[in-house]
Amino acid sequence: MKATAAPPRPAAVRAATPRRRIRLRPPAGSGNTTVLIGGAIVAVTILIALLAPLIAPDDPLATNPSSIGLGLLSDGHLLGTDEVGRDILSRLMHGTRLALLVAVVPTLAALVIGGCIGLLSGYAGGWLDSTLMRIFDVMFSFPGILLALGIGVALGPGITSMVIAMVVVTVPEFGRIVRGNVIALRQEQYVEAAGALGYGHLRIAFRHITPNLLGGVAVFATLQTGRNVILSSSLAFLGLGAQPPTPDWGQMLSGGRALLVTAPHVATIPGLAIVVLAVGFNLLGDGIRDRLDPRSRTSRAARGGPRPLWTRWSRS
Amino acid sequence: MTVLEVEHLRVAHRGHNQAGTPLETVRDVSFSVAAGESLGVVGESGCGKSQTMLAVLRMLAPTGAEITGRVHFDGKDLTALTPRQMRAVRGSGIGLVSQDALSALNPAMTIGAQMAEPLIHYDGFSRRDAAARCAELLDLVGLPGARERLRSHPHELSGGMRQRVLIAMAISREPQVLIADEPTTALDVTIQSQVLQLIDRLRKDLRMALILITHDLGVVAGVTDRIAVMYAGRIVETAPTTALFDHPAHPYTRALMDSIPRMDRPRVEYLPAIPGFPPDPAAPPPGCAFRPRCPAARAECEDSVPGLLPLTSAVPGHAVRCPFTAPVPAGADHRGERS
Amino acid sequence: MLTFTLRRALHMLPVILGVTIATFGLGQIIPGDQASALLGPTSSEEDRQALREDLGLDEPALSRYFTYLGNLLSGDLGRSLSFGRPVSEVLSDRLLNTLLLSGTAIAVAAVAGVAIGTWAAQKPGSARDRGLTIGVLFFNSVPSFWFGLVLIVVFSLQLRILPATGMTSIGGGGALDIAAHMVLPVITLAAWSLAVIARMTRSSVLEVIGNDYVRTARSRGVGEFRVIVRHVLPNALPSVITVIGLQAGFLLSGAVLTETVFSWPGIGLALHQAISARDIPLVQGGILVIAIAFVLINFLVDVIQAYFNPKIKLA
Repeated sequence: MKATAAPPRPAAVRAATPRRRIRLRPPAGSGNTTVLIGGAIVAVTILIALLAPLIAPDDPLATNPSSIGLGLLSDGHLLGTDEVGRDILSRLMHGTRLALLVAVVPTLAALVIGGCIGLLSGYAGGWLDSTLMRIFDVMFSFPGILLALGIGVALGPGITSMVIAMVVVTVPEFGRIVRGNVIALRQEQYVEAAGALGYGHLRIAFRHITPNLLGGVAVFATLQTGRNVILSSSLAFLGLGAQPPTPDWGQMLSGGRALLVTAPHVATIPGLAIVVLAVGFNLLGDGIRDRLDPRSRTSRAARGGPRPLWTRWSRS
Repeated sequence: MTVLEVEHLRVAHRGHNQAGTPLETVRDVSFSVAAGESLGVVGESGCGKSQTMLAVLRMLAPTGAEITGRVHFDGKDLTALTPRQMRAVRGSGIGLVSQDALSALNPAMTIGAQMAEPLIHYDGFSRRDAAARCAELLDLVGLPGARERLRSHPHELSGGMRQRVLIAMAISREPQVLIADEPTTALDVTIQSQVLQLIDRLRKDLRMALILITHDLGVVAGVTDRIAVMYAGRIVETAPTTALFDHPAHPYTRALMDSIPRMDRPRVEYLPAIPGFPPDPAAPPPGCAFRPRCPAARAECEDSVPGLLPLTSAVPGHAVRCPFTAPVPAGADHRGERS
Repeated sequence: MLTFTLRRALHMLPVILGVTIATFGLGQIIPGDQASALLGPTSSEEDRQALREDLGLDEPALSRYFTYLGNLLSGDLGRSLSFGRPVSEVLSDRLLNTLLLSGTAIAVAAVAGVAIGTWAAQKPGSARDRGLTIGVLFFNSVPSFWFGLVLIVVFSLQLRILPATGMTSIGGGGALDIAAHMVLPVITLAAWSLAVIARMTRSSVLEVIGNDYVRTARSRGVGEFRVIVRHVLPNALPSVITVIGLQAGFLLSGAVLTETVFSWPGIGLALHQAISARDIPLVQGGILVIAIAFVLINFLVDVIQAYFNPKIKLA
């Protein structure tokens, strides 16, 4: 290994070899393609959500007992009809609104709440920090989906209670990440210098620490949004979340199971939509991470070193 | 009788630089060793000396390294062997002693278990015979209390003891060639000479060919019969040890010698260091690779890579990769203190 | 080692206590009047009052928590509204089925994940390695219930080679029959953990395989298979075991979805039925059992880790 490492060279020698160019940015195609594909998927989904009433060919709620479980490419129904004869394509298009809502809103709420707790915990330290971390430990000992399920049942089915449940489950994850980064940042010289200059705690926390957290937190939040797509559809599949006849992908999948034998596309197509949206957010998150920190890509692949903090927790 | 002969060995790593051109770490290296003979390979870190040896053993990373040239050993061309045949050569044909004995031993296995492993699984030893053989080997390398040592874990031994264990492991399958890659770098100075003497004694007793790789010219001075000096993936000078120390011909060899502390010259405040750094293997300078650092560089040096040519006025076997070298009279400036 | 085990066991106590506080809390956050929420809007006022007294809803929260804790310690998890039987009975009937399913799944995920991860690590950057990366991304974005449905459509409805739902065929019930019913749910449940374990194994093996002692073993003629099994894996597995332990916990909870898709008669399916019936005691009990199992698994993983690490063993 050591034989291949290029030792640092002084400017004089480097000038003698003008062919070699030092690139500061990652080689084209590492983070960029991922960001582009992921971003395109998310952007198209948002566009469909905005335009759903205009571009949907049919009323997503209009049932038709005479055309139940029509196949793909049927007359007037590009993706067929569901178990009560509603147009699947229209329901998918209208469903993007809810899919985005229950993926993004819990992420943002958990980001704000968990971020503040993490900032406080990491910045204050001491007994407050250890108490908060103990509470997080207990919450981590619940597999996420179970806790969300319990909260959802207790609060009663519905979108609001599902969002609350998802926020409760993900707050500790944001809290831990922010806390870890804050503790690392507090050791930095410029933060210590700000303290030495006599700046107040609030000023240091929000002016000097928070801006440096944003990159890592943005990556984690994007990946968490991808996980939320899955989590919310799982809860909807189990009967929490949006109630019929609201067009919701998880709900559509669950309802389509009745026609699994005769018309399997009714249940599987909404699942495909979930997969595509989740892939979109995951690619976007991975791509942003690679662009923020090109080393995380190559060096991790080469050395197999520890993964960055924000990728460590798995799907709930 | 020559046991190992390397001809025109090249190692290129693909995709290791951004331009996508192969990164050559070994460029046209040829050398040979005979039974009982010892060869020192000297050069700064990154000059390709360890890569050469790993290429001989075909132990470079499985992807990305392209090896060309020939390696003759024991009547076979090693570059043409199947992986299984190559495995049979490692250990029993060519042994390797690594540097840094702590990381070269498996922390999760006892000394005995890792020593005995190939003996039991490839050489048909029973467990009991293998243990006896390992104890014998530890005695041979001068490790006291061999029987108990077999049950120790690596972290329970000192650095010098671990290096002796590594040497015992390398000779456990009675190889014809022993490659020692910086075997003394991690050791205290007093232990260094003990370990070097041990390796030299084993070479004579077991009639092995020895290749001793080091960055320290002083290490090989008293041990090896011949020396090859490497720079930027090429051998720049090769000669019998005495001849090299008496008449160092290549400017790089001379610079290396000036940077060893000497007892036969007046004490100086600072040892002269070679100015500059070795070239980046991804973008070597055109022509002679040492040119940017060479005190005697001329315009012609940039034109082509000089060949490794015999020095007519000197002893047989002395060749140098520099056409502008002026022979230095014997005994004048560059006599090694140990030669 | 013993002191470490005991100390680690003591660490579990506050966590388990916290878990009971959380499950107790689930029963407290029901909006509005709990009695009418539990009994439904059509219940009579007398019934509601009787339930309130029964549940001790008039007492302060703290004393109700201690009553709850006392009941738990005596094995009383309350009464399931939808099954009309004690929660402990409903769960214990089904615990074995859930353990069978998730135990098999974690075994499959661990063995296959370690094998695939090691295989990919042997040629970093190769087609197989990129395949693993894509597989991880895929399973990271695929909901398990959809993956299960697709498996049913392909293998049960189209190819007709495996049963789709349930644990036994009608009239059947031999070990082979159960095994055939387990294939698809186990694949569904194991797939995601398998990808995670494979990725962890890959990076861990890559880290170890670059070590000098691996080179030493190779230089002595030790074959590649033995190098991996004797020198690489023993040093790479400790970090993989941690991930396997975490995944075991996630598998237990993932069983809720998988059991629902495949109508597997385990705790997860009961939980799904409890959702539509708003059967809070059953939900509380199910969550409690799985969360405690999760804590126990993590305890076991730490003890196993310590067993392999001589430095902890001495402490």
